[in-house]
Amino acid sequence: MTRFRTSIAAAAFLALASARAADWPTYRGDYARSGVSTQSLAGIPVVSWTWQSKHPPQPAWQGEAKWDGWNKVFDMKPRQAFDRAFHVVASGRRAYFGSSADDQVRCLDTRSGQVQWSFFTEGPVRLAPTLHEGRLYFGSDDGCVYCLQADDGRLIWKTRAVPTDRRIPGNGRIISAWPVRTSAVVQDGKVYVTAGMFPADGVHLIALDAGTGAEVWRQVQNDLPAQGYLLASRSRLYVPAGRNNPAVCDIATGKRVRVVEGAGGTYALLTDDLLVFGPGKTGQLGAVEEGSSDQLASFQGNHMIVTGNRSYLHSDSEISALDRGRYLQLARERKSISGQQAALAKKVKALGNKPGVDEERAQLKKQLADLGKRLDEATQAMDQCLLWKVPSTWPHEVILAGDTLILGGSGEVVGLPAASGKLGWKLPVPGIAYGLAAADDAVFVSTDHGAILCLRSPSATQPASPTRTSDSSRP
Amino acid sequence: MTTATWIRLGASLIVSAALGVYAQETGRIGRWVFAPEWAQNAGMRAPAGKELTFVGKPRLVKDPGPPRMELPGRDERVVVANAPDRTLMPERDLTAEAWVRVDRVTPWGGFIGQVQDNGDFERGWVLGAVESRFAFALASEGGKRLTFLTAPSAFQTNRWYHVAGVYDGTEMRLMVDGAVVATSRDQAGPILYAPSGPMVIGAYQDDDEHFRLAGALHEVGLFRRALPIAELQAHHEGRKRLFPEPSPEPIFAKPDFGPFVDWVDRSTVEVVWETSTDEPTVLELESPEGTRQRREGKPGRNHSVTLTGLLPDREYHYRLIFPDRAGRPVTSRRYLFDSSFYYRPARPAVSSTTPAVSQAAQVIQASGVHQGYALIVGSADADLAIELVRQSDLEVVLVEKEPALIQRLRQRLDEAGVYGVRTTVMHSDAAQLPLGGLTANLIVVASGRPPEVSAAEVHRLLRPVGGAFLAEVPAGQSQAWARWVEGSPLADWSAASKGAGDRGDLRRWVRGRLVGAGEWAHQYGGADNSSCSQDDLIRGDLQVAWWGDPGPRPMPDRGNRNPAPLSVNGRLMIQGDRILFGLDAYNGAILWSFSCPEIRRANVTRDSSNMTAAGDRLFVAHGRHCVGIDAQTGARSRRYSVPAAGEESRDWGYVAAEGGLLIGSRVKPGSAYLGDDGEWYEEYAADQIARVTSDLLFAMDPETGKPVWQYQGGALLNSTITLGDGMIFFLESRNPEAISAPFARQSPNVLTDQWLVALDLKTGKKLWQKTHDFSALKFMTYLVHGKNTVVVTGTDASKNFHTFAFNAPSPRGDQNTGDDIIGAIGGRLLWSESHKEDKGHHSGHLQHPVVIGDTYYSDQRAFKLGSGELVRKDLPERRGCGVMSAGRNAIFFRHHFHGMWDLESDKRTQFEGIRSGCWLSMIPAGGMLLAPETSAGCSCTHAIQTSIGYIPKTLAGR
Repeated sequence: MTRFRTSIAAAAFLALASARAADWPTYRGDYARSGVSTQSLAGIPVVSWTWQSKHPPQPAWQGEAKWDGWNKVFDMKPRQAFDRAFHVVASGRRAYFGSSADDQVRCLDTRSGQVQWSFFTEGPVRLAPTLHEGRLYFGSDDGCVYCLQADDGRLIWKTRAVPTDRRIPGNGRIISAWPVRTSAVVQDGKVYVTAGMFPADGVHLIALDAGTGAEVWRQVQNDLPAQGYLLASRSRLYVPAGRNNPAVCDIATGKRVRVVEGAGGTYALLTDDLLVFGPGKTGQLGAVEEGSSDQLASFQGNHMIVTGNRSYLHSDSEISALDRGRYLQLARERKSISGQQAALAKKVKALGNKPGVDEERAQLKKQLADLGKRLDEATQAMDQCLLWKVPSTWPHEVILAGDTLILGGSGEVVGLPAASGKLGWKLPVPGIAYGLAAADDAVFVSTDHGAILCLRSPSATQPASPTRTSDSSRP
Repeated sequence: MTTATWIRLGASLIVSAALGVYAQETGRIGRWVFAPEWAQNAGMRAPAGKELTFVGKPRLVKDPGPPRMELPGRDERVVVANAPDRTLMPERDLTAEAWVRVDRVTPWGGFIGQVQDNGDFERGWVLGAVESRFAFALASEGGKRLTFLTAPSAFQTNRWYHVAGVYDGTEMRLMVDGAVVATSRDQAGPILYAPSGPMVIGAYQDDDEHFRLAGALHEVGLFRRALPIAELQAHHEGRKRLFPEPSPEPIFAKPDFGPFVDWVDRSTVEVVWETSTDEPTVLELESPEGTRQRREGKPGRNHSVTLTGLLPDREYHYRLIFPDRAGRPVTSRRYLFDSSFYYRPARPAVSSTTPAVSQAAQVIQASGVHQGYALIVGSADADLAIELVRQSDLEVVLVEKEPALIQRLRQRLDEAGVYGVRTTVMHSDAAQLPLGGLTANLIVVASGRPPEVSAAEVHRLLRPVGGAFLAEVPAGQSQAWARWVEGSPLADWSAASKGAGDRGDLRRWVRGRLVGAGEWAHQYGGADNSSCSQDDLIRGDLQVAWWGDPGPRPMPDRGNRNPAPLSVNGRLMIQGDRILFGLDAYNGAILWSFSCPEIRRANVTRDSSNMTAAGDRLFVAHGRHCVGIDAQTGARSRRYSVPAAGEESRDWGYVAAEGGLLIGSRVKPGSAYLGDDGEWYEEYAADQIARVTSDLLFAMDPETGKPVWQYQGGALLNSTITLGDGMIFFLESRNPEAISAPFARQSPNVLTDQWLVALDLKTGKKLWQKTHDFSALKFMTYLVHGKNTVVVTGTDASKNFHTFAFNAPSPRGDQNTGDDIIGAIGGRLLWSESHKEDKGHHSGHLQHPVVIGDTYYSDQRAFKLGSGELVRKDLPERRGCGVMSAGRNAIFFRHHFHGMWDLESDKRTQFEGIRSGCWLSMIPAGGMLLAPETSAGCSCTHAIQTSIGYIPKTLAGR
């Protein structure tokens, strides 16, 4: 088995945005959006507490069209799905989330579910805040970026992302013409955010001083919006663009490096030197290598988890484990062969019916045939990289907590041992589990009904499992 | 055929395979029999040849026979090889055969093939179909490009056929049911293959196109040999008895009116419909999980069923069972209702303090505003806001400058459960509020004192056509208020009501229409079909004024040439896929929506739209009726019926509202295109270019529904009905065959002997008529009116535009010209022009003209309307489908994205990231550019799909 090559970037991702091993300081745990935590829940967990919002999340976008009539594609995937639940971040005994329904950011006690504090903004907070060194950073549809003291919710600074303050009706609310629709990334003393929806009005990519909110640099793009969770490495910022493909920017200056190719979508994962994103029109993840725009490989699936040499691919109907290193090696080989094929085909085409080149033409055709055979062999070998595959009816979210894959479904969450994929446990939840987070020896489940559930091992749980509401839990 | 027979057949196939019979056939590469017994994992084995891999979930079915693979035409297909595999690729001689049943026609169809047809790169071969004809295509070294053999006649859907394609190195043959139906000798020598690309069964797939077969396959075979005709005839003869004749198409009935699905609350709808007899009817509901419930209605013609407990964001199906006119039970189609299309805001359960209850009621009553956005300026408590959201659908924004007060207000609103979802407290201490102009439906000052913001600022924010400003003016503050309004448009405000208790009197000012604002009341702007709204305000730089629902989900596919949205009196009316919306044009607030599965029209290129608007009413053709809808509330307040045609049933076709009249036309039932198979109506095909024709044109009084006049002549082309300057124009075919045709959709080849006719709009009397040779107009026929001129235009089969302009002087004028015309007042040919389409892609040949003033814009050229003089030929290319629309100062079009051409500056602008649909979907009206979401289904990665309103920066004032 070929070992997957480890890059410097991989080590860097592990260090990013991680306060403690069992913290979950940003959406999906880190800026690679890996969805991986070292902590695991012992035994079959139980619901420790539930916090229930008065109103369910109010996603900005209702979903894709019923079908693509020209291409006869049905059941198209929503490509702007980032705010269907109140996603949780957590550190120590505090969990935080923003609300698209009541425009607030809240802090809950992870042991009791009690609200510790809440903070009002003037528009929906659609994305989870980011924790960094005791401070909480987030943006709102009101067009502002906020920095709060994480332990008490005190405002440290607030800055309007685009100097002009113009509020207009947007997605059914009066919000800024330049809403902040990406998460904040905090790194090396800077906060990276975006603001703006419509390229014609300018979409701003901004770096702010994390301590003061002062502007460090600003780039304005006039071709793509910015919506979804930002991803980052030490040198790159990856900006999801709603239904379009992510843009890759230089983190030092904000200047665009490239827009990758693919079928669009706001889900993205950074793993070693690959950007994996989707779900495109049909639930397909594309993988693009650093330095490249075009796709190295594509996978039928909604999400992916990568650990070491293994990856887990999560689709509407199944979850599978792959020998990732071997698979990627073969994918690169296949891409190289395809490239050679295309070049040869071009040469054959250029020869056309020219007389006197029969031998050259025949030789090129033979090479083409050989490449075709190699391509088939590579394709067949890729099929053999599958370690296990099991049916899944929990397609909405997946994380890896310790050695357990936790999957979000409609009305339930489940745990599967990562080694086998066999069902370990199953718990009912109210609504569709779109959000999962692992911290403080617990797993937090966020649903489209506006519920946040805390799952813990039975031994670590108090006997009662109370339901808190946005009313009853105010201090 | 009995099950036992099928079992015997299946068994014999297995035995045959076991004996290697088929594998030993000379030159056979594969024999794939689709039956459950061959299934394995996510694919199947075969009696002979390579094992297959399934994509999606094709269903292998045994009973009732024949054994087959059912393909729904979604993602399902079968992969023989992902990449070229020489063991599967005949070098020269080839036979491919299939037992196939096609259930739905697609532009391209593949039964088996390994093909690439990408621009001028054409390789491989495919056995399948081109639209409704079986086809066999192949590229060889001798031919280089693909030759497409197509059957001379269309196949019947839902019927089994044996189809075979044969190539022997010199000749290609296409055989259907044992008969040779097409041959070609264009190809010679070895087959040319592409270096990459899959071999698939049940789909036409190359790098550019991917069409899945909707139907079934019983067996597919592939040979490295050109099978003789007799051998293929034997294949057909030997098996044809196994395939049943198709069962007749089910006949579905429609209720006389409806059904309409009206929301009661988030989980409850009322379904209403009417029947033509007094018998009881039944509604059968299918839940998303597949459970069924049957709801019986009471006897009578008006029926209503309330469905409760609906879950959000689900698809429900239902059908109606009711008696026809003869009392026999008939069934409707299986209708779809999507419970995600709920747009009303959440209402709080709690009420506030008593004074606020009455105060809010007074504000709502005095303003007449129930929906949209309200601004409360200067309020010490949150009670009025809480009561406004409880008593109305308003979203309320409170504007304050004191941080402590702001925090108190927010906490109070949050406790009431309305902060965020219904209310916001905005911090602002500036004299100019940070709000876009023309946005607020209601601005209230409840403190009794004039606010710090000026009256001019309030005026800037108020929405035109009904935006209301209300203020409590205590007696002691009247002087201060007088100073506040002085010099502003609000100075002529008036008393609305006396103050209750110790509160001051309520004074009111309501904003009127913007001077220079235009309307988009018909498919092409005015009933003159000019595609110009006459809006004088849309010009210069635009910015986003609002965006939001409806998004792509309720909309029809972008390519069906759907009816245009309309905008009159500050409202925007949108026709989704069998759902209607009324929006506030200035802020996008959804005023109402309801679904009706029997309201739909497509391919308006060859028909007319089914809706028009006038004043506060929307008119929508629906079956034999036209529904008059209150544009503010969505109430179906009026109904008009098409004049009877003896005992024969008829539908309402064309609809316009002009000159105080409701104009309609009468069509034979079922004539409207529906676009339900994803048709784009772009190709030169009989089933796409056939014109919808009317047998009667009529006018009604929209208030009383009484007939005013009727005109009956030839077969009227709906796409040409045009109103202008007190006249109504159209083309009609007087070919008796066209007039007596049983179906209203007619080929241009039948619509001969065409006459241009002008009637007096008020009386319906014929003013003049003119015969002319319009036979070149094959793809489509349009008619537009402007400045004493009517223009007839269209393209021929080779996509050349042909345009004919005739004089059409006002009946009120004294011009008197012409020779062969009745009344001798119009119909003289002024000019004509022909040219090859300029654009050459994406419906360039279907472009509808625009008339602005005395300039006629067509294709990429501009002409003087009266003389035909070419003014310029450098109009924007307009990348992508869609047609132009215009105000007086700008033309709007799709250039990848929303695009604008400012005629004053000649500047072209693109609004990146967001695109319009494949017909007319950006309308300038009321000083706004309104662009409802119409890109639904686009496979492209356009970043944003939303309805949107743009406003000139000069109007927004910020």
